[in-house]
Order: sequence, then C-alpha cells, then structure tokens
Amino acid sequence: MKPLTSLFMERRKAAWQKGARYAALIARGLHFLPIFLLVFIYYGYRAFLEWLPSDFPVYLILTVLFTWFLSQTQIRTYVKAADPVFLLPADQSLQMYFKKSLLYNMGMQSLKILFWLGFVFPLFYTHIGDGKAFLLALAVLLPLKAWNVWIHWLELRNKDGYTLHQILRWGSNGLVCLWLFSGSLFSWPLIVALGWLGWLTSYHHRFTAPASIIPWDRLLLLEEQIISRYYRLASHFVDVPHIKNERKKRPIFAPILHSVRYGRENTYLYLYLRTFFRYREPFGVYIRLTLVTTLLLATFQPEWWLFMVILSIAMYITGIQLPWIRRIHRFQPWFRLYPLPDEKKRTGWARLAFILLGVQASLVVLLQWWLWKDPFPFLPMLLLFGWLVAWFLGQIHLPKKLHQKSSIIH
Amino acid sequence: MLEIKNLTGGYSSHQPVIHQISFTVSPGEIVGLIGLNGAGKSTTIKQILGFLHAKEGEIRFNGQTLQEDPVAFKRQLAYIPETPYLYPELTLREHLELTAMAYGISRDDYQDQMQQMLNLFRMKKKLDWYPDTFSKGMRQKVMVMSAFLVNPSLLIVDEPFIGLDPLAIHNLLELMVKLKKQETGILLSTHVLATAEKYCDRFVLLNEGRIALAGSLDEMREQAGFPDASLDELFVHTVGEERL
Repeated sequence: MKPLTSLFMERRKAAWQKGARYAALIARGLHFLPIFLLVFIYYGYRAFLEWLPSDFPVYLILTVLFTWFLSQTQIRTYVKAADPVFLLPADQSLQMYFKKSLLYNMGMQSLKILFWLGFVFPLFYTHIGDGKAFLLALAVLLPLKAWNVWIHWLELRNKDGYTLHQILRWGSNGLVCLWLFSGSLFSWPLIVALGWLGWLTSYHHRFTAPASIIPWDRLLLLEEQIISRYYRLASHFVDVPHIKNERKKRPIFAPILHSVRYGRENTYLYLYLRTFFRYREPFGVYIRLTLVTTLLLATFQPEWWLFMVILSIAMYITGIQLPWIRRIHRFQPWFRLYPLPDEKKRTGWARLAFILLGVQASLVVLLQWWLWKDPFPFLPMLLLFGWLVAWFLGQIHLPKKLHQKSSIIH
Repeated sequence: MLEIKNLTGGYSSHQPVIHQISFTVSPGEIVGLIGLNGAGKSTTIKQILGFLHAKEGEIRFNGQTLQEDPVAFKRQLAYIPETPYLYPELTLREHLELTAMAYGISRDDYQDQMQQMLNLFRMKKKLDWYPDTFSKGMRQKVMVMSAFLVNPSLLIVDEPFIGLDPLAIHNLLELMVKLKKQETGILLSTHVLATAEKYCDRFVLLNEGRIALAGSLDEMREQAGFPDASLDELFVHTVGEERL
C-alpha cells in the first residue's frame, strides 16, 4: 500500500500524465494549426496595439481582466468518490493532503497570473508604466492570487453558502486592481487594502467549519466539474470516452432527417444524420465555426486567396470533429451486426461529411453580403472552391484517416 | 445449422475463458446455454457473433464462417443482448426502421411486423419516444422487437428475462416457440432453469469454460448418473460438486 503522505503527489502526477497524453493526441490531430493560430494572435495583437488610441482607458481593461483572473480561482484536490469512505480514518494525513493541494494550487494559479501579466506586458508598457511599475504590479498580484486561493478554500469549507463571501472577494480584487492599474495604490490605498484584506480573512475564518470536517460533497462536485470541463475541451479534438454528450431533440431539422429514402443503401446515413443533429456536439461546433468564420470574413473582407485559406481552415477544423459521429457507435452490438459490407460504414459517413462541409461552405460564402455587390466572378468561384474542399475532406482525406483507425472502429 | 467445433478463446489469447467447446444448434430447436456467472456463456456468444476472435476452433452456420462471407452470415442471425444497448438519439420507431433498413426488409413487411410487435409488447404509445424515458424492461423490449423483426434463421438470446414484466416474458417465449416452428435455431443463455427446462430441447452446461454436461435432459441425467433429476438438481450437482 502506498503511504498516504505521498497520495496527493501521486494523484497530481497521474493527472498530469493523463493531461499530457491528451495534449499529445490533440497536437497530433491539429498538425500545424496551432502555429497558424499563434501567428494570427501575434499579428492581431500588434495591429490592436497600433490601433489603440493613446487616451484609451487601458487601466480599465486591465482592471476587468485581472479582477477576473484573480477571482476566478480553481482548486484542484484530486479527490475521488471513494475517498470519504476509505480515507476517513486518516484524519491527520488528510490535513496534510489538503495542505499540499492548497500549496500546489497557489503555485499553479500564480503561474496563470504570471502568464497573463506577460501577455499584457506590451499593453502595460505602452499605456500604464515602465518596467519598475510592472515588477511592482507583479509583486502585488502574485501574493493577491495566493490569498484568493486561500480564501476560496475557506469559502469551500464554509458551513453555509458562500455567495456573499464571493461577492466580497471579487469586489476587493476589483478595487485593488483599479488602484494598481490607475497608479494610485502605492500610498494610503495600500494601507486601506491591507487592512481590509486582513479583516476579510478573519471574517472568512469565523464561518469556516473546523478542519476535521471536510466538505466532501462540495469537493467531489467541484473536482467532477473541473474534469468534465477538461474532457469537454479535449472532446472537440479527440474522442473522450468519459464525456457524456447531451442529447437534443431539435425538431426543426426533422424534414432533413426524413429526406433520407428508406432503403438498405441508406442505413448508415439514416443513423449518422440523426447522430449529428440530435447530440449537443459536434453539431454545436459546426454551428459555432460556421458563424465565427462568416463573421470573421464579413468583418475583414479579405482578398480572395486569404478568403479561401480561412474558409479551408474552418472546414478542416469542422471536418476533424465529424468522425465522432461514427466512432460513438463502435461498441453498439447492432452496429457491428448489421448485414452490410464494412466499408458502407465509411462511405455512409463520407457522404454525410461531404454534404455537411459543402453546406457549411455555401452558408459562409452566401452570407457575405459584401460579395453580392459585385458577385462575378468571385462568388461562384468561392462556392465551387468550398464544395471542392468539402469533397476532398469528406471523401478523400478524412475517410483515409478513419481507415487508418479502422482496426478499432468496426 | 450452427456448428461449433473445438472452440477456445476469450478476451486475451493468453488466457482463454472457454476451452474446446463443441455443440450444434439445429433448425427448429432451442438449445439452452447454462452455467454459473463467469462460466463462459457470454464469451461463447461473443465468439459466435464475431465480437471476439477465436484462438482455436471454428464456428459455422449453414456451412459458412463469418470470415468467409460476413454479410450473408450476419443476415441470418439476430441477437438479444443481456444489457439493452439502444441508440440514445433514435426513437423507438427509428430503432425499428433502422433495423429493417439494415436487413433489407421491404417497407410494407416492416410496417406489418412493426404493428404486430407494438401490439404484442404494448409499446404503441411509445413509438416516438426516446430510450432515456424507457424503463429497463421497455429497453429490453426494443431489443426483442428488433430481433424478431428480421425473421432470423438463428436467434441468439443472452439472458433476456431480466427486467421484463411477466406478460412480456410470456410473449417473448411465445415468439421464440413460433420462430422455432418456422425452423429457426435458437441459442438461449439463461439462469432461469425452470424456463430453460420447459422450453429448451437440448442443453449445454458450461463450468469454468468447459462443457460439463450436454444433450437432452435425459441424456444429461444419464451422463450425471441421476435418472430422475430435474435440470436444477443436475446443475447444482454438477457445478456445486466440482466447486467443493
């Protein structure tokens, strides 16, 4: 048996290893897309800084951002459903377990603040203050984040609800940030802030249950929510068995579902169409990506070649979500027993993917009202291009990728 | 006819669950597959369905293996699993329609069959409902209805009675008898020995992955040396004795 003292570290290590495996899987699936994204963010950020008027109240933006980053505190405890039963007798060791968890979370959350401060450094440097002021901001925000983790832990151990406590914490963070970024913290406000935070800490302590009472239900729920969030994020890119995909009826699409003719050759299309329209995802991703791409293109109205690049990227990201429609059924015994050639599972999917991507391309192109002013020759050309990409992705590229995985997809 | 010869296999090729199993299921007979939990009943069924690959031995139906012609092999069989697996995104109507489409049943035949099944299992009002609103018994009924919809030549049933109400169990057994009269072979895995004794023509009693007794009730009595024993007594004697 492993000693309880190292349990937290063991679980943290296991969680990181699992996270790393998912990250590697996602990275493999995305190919060079993250590089595109980084370049896009870099140029976008630079353009934003150049565009930003010098009298723009940057301190307000930073106040809002950092109030959010400070207050939105996540505590990972790695607790498991069986812990309340099996770890109950180990009271002293449990105190140590949660202390370690708290220190770990303070470290991780401070890293988050460090990352965002690094990200806004150009904005800070051009509009707020010099390097010394930046280091002072760092010296204020990092301990403040650690304080937030500590107070949030007290909130979780609060005997009753903790809404009021949260409002007080968010308000305090907002005020300190406002003073900090407007440059007025380092005089009497600092003394007021320290006094107030001290009082708030003792106020929280008054409502906290004794250390021996562990709010298992709350901690387990929180842990479950955090894990679900990670899995949901990962499920946009890879198949995550743990995630429960919500079902939606969406009766508005019934005419599309009924358009499939009754017949043996349409068996899989019949099933896949319903799988696509009646689950929260990947339908949601499809709609979101279609809308975002439409808005992006309508806002920037790029040259035709850049239009094609952006459209192709959007279609590709949509396309890589679609194999889930087939994968979800792989353990369903009937799906494996239907007396149809195995390749029909793939061809049925390819038909659907081609249609969905083609419709997506058409929606994105036809909703560009600026193209309608002078539709020829670009509008038909872009439409044709969209359907060609849909054909390539749906019929050639993605089925080939699916085929490589077909040893696990029967 | 289903012929299983010297079948050895399991979830891992290094650790077979079933060893050297041989038996047949002829047209128009019900063969009961019985044994304790973990005896290898479900593993045998999964091997027949092709969900697991056999380490040794062969499985033929009407002379053909699954590998030789998967479409023809699958077209002849239907399966009612122990746990009802449904598509959460399909209504009852769509489950039946999808099954009928996959098995190439004409639309008119499907409509006729569907109405009969719906009446028999009292599911008419649930036709446009989704499975998440169904009880375990109703979910099992969807499995049963789909299996009978396709008029199989071989029906494989894995512990079908759990969760079904007494009327549904009665109807299921009636349907099995009807199919049997139409020359369908049925392999029924169950723990309900009284029902098995009443409806099965022959039995295969598995114990720790091997056939302990096989044949008709009289043949098994002879093998065990208990001329007047019921199936229940034979089971307890054979399995219980070996466990001691």
